[in-house]
Amino acid sequence: MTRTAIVTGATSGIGRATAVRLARAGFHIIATGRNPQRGAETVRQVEAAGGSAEFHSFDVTSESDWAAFADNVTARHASVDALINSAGSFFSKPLPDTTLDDFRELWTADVESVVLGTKYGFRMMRDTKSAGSIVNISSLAGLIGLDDCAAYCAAKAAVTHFSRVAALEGAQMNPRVRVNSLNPGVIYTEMITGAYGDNDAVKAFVMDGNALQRVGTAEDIASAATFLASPAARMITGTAMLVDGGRGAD
Amino acid sequence: MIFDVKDKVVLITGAASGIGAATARLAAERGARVIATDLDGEGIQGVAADCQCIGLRHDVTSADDWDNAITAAVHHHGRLDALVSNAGFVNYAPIIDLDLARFRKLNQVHVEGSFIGLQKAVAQMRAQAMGQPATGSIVLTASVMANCTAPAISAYAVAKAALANMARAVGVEVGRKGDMIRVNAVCPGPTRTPLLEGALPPGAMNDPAHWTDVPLGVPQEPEDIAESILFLISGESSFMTATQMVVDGGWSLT
Repeated sequence: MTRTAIVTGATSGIGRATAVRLARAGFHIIATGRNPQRGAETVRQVEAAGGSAEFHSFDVTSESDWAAFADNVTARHASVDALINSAGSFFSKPLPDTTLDDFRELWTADVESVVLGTKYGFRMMRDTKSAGSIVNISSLAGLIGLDDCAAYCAAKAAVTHFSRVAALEGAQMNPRVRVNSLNPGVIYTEMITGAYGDNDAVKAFVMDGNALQRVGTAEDIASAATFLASPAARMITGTAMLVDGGRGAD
Repeated sequence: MIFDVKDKVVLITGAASGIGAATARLAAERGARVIATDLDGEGIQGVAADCQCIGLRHDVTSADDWDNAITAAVHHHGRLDALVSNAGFVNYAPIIDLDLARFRKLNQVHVEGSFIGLQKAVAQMRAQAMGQPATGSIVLTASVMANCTAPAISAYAVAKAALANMARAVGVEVGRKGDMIRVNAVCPGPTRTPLLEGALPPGAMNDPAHWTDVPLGVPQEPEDIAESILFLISGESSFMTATQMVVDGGWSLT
């Protein structure tokens, strides 16, 4: 039976790389995002890697969108084996300049999307009797501080701890569902270049913070997400898996 | 879904039983070139025969034995790509009954043993790099006991906490030095090993009522820990260093 993986935020960065890596591991990919053109490019990349994919455009912060998506998926697929909640957003701003609207917008994009994703992930896995694995993309910033990123750090800390508690619920399901957060360090993706720029100075800043003297890539995170989704990690639940080049260790 | 370890030269200590033996078997099955070592010089030959790999008697508190093991890797396979510093044992005693000699022995095997291994492995990985940044992956077998605890296990908890932070400290140090040598700790929860079997009441290992504290409801199999160790050895974890990878079925969550 074909295993199925849902990847949100699959139109760029970590989400897209994870879709491609999971496809190489044999999963049929259900990619989601807001931009159909970018979604089509993700499907093309999955197919180029020898996999199969479909793209669904919906808003991961809308509960009614999740409900409709879940009905669609469970009607057409026999199992939902993995869900990678990768969609998210980022901004950097000193706290005195951060408005409540800024904070709420980020909280909705980063936390509510994961809460809804995990809720409907549980439902889809329950309804298809799948011993699934849910991976919530958090951040090193959910474990330690990052200058001028109070809202983002708070949101990612929420994602990390929410995932731990969801793991306890998932463990009571039959079959059991695993939930982990995956906490990347600073990864050189559009999320970073969009906020700070795409140039050698930014790249050097990103690299210098790492103990390992290289830039972290979306593929690094895709590999870890694939590991957590795989049977190799069948006893791993409720953890925060750090993939940060040693950035947070000193 | 295999994370590739083919042709990697991997030295595994404490490999005659439990997690070490499972790691040796899985690594060999996936095409790694394994050097399996253990204090039990006879027991290790059985694992070596299964894995068709080199098996050596190895007291991890002996620097000479470490030299011998690393020399064997280099002699037979030309290099050392990974070290799994896994040898260890457990001691249960309430603090007021804990024997100082036993406490020292436990820390000597875990902490000093891994310290010597780290020194020798990093030196070898640098020596074989031929002027390029050195590469390699070192995994220390710590325990969830590094970050939480249980009664009568203080000596073990101390040693495992030391190992977890040793991985972190050395991981940062060698990375900042410009090497691509990675050092991580794996932190297993209760695992079906002879070590744990000896400590549980008869029949407990297979009794679901004994595992109600583990959210996933069962102990880890040694292969579950081996899978995480092999992921940490594989190139797919090449951005992971100085971390602790917890494999405990959710045991430490509550």
